[in-house]
Amino acid sequence: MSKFRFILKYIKPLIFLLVAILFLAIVFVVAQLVIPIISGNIIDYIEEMATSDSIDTILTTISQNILFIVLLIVFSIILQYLFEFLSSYFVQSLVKKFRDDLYTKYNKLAIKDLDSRNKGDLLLREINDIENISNGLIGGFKQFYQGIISIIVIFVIMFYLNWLLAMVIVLITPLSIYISYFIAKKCNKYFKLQASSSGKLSSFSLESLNNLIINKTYNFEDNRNFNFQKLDKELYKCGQKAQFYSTWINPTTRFLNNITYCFVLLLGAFMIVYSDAFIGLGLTLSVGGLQALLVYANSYAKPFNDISATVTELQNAFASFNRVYEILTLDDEVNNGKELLNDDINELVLKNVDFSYDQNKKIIDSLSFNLNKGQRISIVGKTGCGKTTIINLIMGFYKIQNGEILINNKNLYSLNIDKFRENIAMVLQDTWIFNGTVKENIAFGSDIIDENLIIEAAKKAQADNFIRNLKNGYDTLISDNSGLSIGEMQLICIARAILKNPNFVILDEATSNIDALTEDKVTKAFDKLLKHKTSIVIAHRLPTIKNSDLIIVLDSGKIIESGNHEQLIKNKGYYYQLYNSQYE
Amino acid sequence: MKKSKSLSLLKYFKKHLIAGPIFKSFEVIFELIIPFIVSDVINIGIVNNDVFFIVTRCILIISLGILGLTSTLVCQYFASIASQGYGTLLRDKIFEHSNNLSLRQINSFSKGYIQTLITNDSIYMQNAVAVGIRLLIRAPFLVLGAMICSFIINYIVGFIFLGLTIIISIILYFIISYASKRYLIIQKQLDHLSNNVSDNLKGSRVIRAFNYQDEEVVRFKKESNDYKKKVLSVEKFNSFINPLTFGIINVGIVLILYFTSFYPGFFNLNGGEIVALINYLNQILVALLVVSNLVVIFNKAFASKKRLDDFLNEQNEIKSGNLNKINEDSLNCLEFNNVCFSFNDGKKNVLNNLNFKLEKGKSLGIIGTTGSGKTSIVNLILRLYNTSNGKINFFGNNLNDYNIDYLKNLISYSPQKSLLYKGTIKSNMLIAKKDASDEEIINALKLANAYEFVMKYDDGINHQVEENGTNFSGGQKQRLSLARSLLKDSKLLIIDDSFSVLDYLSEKTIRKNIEELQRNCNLSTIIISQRISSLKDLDAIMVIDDGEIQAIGNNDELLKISPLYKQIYDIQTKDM
Repeated sequence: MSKFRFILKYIKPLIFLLVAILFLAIVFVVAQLVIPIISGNIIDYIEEMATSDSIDTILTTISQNILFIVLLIVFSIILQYLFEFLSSYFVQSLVKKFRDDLYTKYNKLAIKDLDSRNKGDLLLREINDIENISNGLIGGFKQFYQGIISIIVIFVIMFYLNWLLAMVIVLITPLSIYISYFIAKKCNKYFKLQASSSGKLSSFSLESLNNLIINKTYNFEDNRNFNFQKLDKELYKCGQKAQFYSTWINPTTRFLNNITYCFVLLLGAFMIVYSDAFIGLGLTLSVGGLQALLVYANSYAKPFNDISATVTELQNAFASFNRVYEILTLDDEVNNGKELLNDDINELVLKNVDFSYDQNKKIIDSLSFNLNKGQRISIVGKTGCGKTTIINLIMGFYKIQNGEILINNKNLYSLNIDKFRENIAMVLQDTWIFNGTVKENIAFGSDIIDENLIIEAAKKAQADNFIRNLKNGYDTLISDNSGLSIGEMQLICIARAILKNPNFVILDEATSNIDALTEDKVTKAFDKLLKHKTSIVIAHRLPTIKNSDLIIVLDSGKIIESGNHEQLIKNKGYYYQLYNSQYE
Repeated sequence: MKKSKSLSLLKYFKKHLIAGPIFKSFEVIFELIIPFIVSDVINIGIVNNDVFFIVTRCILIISLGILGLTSTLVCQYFASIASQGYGTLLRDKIFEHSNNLSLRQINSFSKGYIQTLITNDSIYMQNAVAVGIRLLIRAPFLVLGAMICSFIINYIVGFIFLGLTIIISIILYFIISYASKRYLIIQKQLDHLSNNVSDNLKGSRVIRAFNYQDEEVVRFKKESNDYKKKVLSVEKFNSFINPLTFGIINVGIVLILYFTSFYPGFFNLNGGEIVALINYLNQILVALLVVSNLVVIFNKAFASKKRLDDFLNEQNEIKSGNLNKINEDSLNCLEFNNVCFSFNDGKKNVLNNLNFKLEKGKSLGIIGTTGSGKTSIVNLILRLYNTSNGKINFFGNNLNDYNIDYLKNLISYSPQKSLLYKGTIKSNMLIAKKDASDEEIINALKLANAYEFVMKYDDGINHQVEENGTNFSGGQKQRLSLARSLLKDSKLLIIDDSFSVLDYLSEKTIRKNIEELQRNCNLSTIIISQRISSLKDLDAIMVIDDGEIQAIGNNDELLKISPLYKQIYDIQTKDM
């Protein structure tokens, strides 16, 4: 989709507003331009009064004219206010749509696409870039709208007053636009550099803030400071150039308009001095006429000056828009599947599944297993053997390269993936706690607002005790750095899964980082929860593994052993070693 | 009043801040002169048919234009150097400060806040400086010039203009001060949005697993709608600025016209003068409007300045000592005497009256329930927090007397959460020891049982590490983090639950390696773990419960004296 059509799509719902704003702008700009004409007339009457006998009639005309001006002032104040406010409303609505859509996109993109971009940069796009667009539009949009209308109106008036001078003015205009365009194009390069530099800087500082404890304990602060300053200096270099060169546009435009003004003055003066020569062209000019033209020449130039003054913001906005556009035009997660399960997950089958993140090194190598309703599979193996990847595949976060994943005999990719995922509760290694109350964190994903049910789930997850000790109990605001220990955060995540009460559970290292006493209780709670439920568990603690119907030992993406606990112990292989190591 | 730390950085740009506006004012002066020359061309040149006069004056106008353009560009140059330079220094300072403050202080500000300071607030400040140099001086100069000229034409009119300018200024002032208050609220809402987005990005997997994307989007739309409403509530007022200034100025024009026509003797103005006066009034209008358009920029900067100063004025609560030498004769590596600790002074103690010793070259295990205060003990030793009460001795001297950098060079630490930096495996290892050779790095990786997977990469230890180590699994990260702590030459090694996602086999190997290291290098070690198996061979184990030491002893002793320890032991070894 071209950018133009893309923007059009966003403006479409606001088209009535846009027309209304255009209408308001036309009316109030015309009103404001008529005022000088009338006051010019009044000045002529005042001059006339000095030599005229019928002062009274002139005075009546003057007072009528003044009354008219007053009415125009009141009229244009009201309309201009509406114009200003509606313009802001328009910009804010447009920008909100961008912001919402970007957020929606973040929730629709394939996990693969999210994983491949860094979070700091995505955040920057959603917050800063959108603000940049808003700033650019607010300045630019109003000036642009207002400007174009006054340029047209003034041109008509000037042409009516003196077509030759009007032509002179209009002919120079393209030159100033061209020069502005030229400069803008030149510094576009620096704006792009600036945007990417600040993205880099932002992710660097975000990473640093997350790793603060290492900075401090390894005396790594100086190194981080040094590197930050290096990145910052790069940002400075392109930022300074971007700013400096883009600020050429406004003075240059004003200078060119000065020259135009001077041309009008010179030509106008010649027309008066050598009036005979111009009569042939049907042109006459009085001193008053020249003065009026000069005033209009200035007003004509004003919008150009004003618009060019907002060029820095506009360019910034444009660079930011491109960053937002880039994300918004990415494809959503493929969810071609329409089929619904209409039932619990009764059977999960992996058939000769191959997977690699980079098309190069196989992470999962021809993996097969069956999981029936009510069964529990435990996956065991060394770090990096592909355990977490299996979850990524079953959840449909990543697509397999070879083989099949079948759910109730239906291909995973033929299912509506969102609806499929609803059947599953997942507790991951990296706990996820969002900014919100404890209650909200537990209720996440289950639409349950009944406090009793939430507390009950927390109790099952053994989280009730420590939650009650928090400042405001279940209403305490928490986040991932609000001082909760990793274990506590994990308990909340478990409570979340328990509350959802699905028929299929995936646990990835869920019991690590919880102390033995709590783990014991959680394990029991899980056993209760997992009863009659299907589950895949990645855990290193033997009680959880031991109760599994099937244990898979994985190495480099391949199954090296499988069976139940007794079988594997008899086998005296890797599992046997692992089992014994715990008690040595 | 406290000195504003954010503004004080401007001192490095004094020259630019002064020279910029001076050059800008040249342009303004030229701009004010031009109307006089124009009226000369009309009144003298045209009236006398003096073509030479007309042409020379036009050339003069263009020359002034060129001079104006040049001086503006010089001003812009200064402005770009000063504003971008200022923003850069500001960011450097914020970043540096974030590394200086204690962990408690950072958490009380929140990371999002500091990140916003770096990415947004510094930009608002630098914009304000740029605009200040480029435009702020221009507007008052134009107003002043126009005012003086109108006084020259007619002093009564001059006073009327002055009055009008004051009225407009007062209106502007009220709108601006209202708006700046609201901008703080708007900024907060933006922080809120930012937290929301960052949460969402972090939780993408969980959100999809719950199929809650739509709900998340609905929630966000509500928040962003709130934001829009808040912005518009300010715009409601800001929108008054342009029409009102326009109205007031034009009322001035009407007044002049009215009085000149109905009370001819009052002003005694001719047509030319009226035209000139109207021009000046319009000039004032334009200048004031420029100011009001700048208001948004300055409002934002003002709100940012407050946020910046709040942060930059925060003094680091951890004071470094001067001691650069440990007492080699000291028998104890570490000694806690009645140590207490609480997060918010006075409230509930996280640690209560801790007394224990760690002898040089010995190992100490710490076990306890979640939230019992295990990590807090480590945070005190690492001086990430201050003790509320009591004393910690480190190799014979008070911990607080040591120079912090020196102290941290003596302690090696592996945190609960494995933290890696974008770069390579090697660059992450070098954090622990700047001049480590590849052999040393590989050795450390071997000790942490990490070399077997690092080896598999074609580029080995030069393999890329993505931001936060996202391209490694949890266990791999934990091994790398452990290897880093083992590479560091230290007197005290602290391992905070860093085996948690490792399988028992790997853990056993690593533990043995650490034991060896401890013996060979006379290293003292503290290991925090949830697993008895990780601790049972250590010289001593400390059982912590609710911030207090419940028991200290070796495995066999504890099984007899500590019911809690026994209970954990039973849980973990049952079903054998």
